[in-house]
Amino acid sequence: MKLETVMKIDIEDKILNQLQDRGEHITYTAASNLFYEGQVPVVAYLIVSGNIHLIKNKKIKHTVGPGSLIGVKELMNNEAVNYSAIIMPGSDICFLSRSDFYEIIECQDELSEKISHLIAI
Amino acid sequence: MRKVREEEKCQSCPSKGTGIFCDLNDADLDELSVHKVTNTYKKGQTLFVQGNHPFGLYCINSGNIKVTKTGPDGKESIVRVVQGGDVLGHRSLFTSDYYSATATAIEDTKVCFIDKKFILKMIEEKPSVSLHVINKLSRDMGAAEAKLSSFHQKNVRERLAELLLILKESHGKKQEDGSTLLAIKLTREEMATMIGTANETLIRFVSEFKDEGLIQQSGKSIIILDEERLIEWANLNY
Repeated sequence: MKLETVMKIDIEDKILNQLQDRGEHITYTAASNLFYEGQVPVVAYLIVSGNIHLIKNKKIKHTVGPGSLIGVKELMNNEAVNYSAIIMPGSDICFLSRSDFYEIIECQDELSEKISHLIAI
Repeated sequence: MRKVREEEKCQSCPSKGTGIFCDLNDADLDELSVHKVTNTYKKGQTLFVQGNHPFGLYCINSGNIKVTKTGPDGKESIVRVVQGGDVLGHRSLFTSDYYSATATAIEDTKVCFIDKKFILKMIEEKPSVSLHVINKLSRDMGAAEAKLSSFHQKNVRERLAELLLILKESHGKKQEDGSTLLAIKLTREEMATMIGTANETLIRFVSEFKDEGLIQQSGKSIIILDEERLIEWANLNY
């Protein structure tokens, strides 16, 4: 699967708000590695504001911004990512864990349907 | 929920019997296996960074990780080294504080991550997990107190001897000739920060220890030759 396809999951506002209500928010004050190439992300990251650089072979291949969800498919399918992710200072992130997604999927509502679809892509 | 491969299950962990979840039954371990994320960190990769928000608990499967604190001058000092069966991030998890230290793999290390929501549920429901966490916290506190008094009351030679004895307990492998190989590769700089001294001073004392026949070096590894004298040199009062 292409890097852009894996990464760039843009979400409708309604779903975005629902996910934001579920997860915890943090603002990164310094650049930080979210995960490394070849690893399974420990949580999924929903970008509220700011940017995340996707890096492969020490080069920035892509930059994702607000409204993008990173790592959900890999987290839920236990798949390794083929890029590293570095978050930029001042970025506001909402993170969602495996337990959060299991809870969402169990609800069997519109959000659960959307997430199940994202995981299955 | 996803299916977990046999080798990824907690029941197959090489540190089985030493971790905080080891008293759980098979059904609980299966549930934990579904929730955890297992990754291999290469030497130098960080699990978490000082000042970041904790997402959950890291349970070390195999390998060694150094926990360091960076001072305002950018100087890094090693607080402790953790190995298979140990947990990381538990203190920040319960206090909801940001990480007070950085965890970096000092060799290729396999680590399982358990998210905050699930670990808090486990702690609420399974007393054995809570007791193991309390046990780990108590040991950490004991080690911190011992280190503090050592910094106040001992000189560099005594602190180095004590560090070697501590590493022998945690990473020592008995050799056929009776000596003990420390199965951990630390740089001189890392060892110096662990006993709160300058690099040059540590190198001088390591040479003295070698000249006196207390230790020997094999590549980057240290072999303890004379434990009894090392105990004397450490000036241990227990």
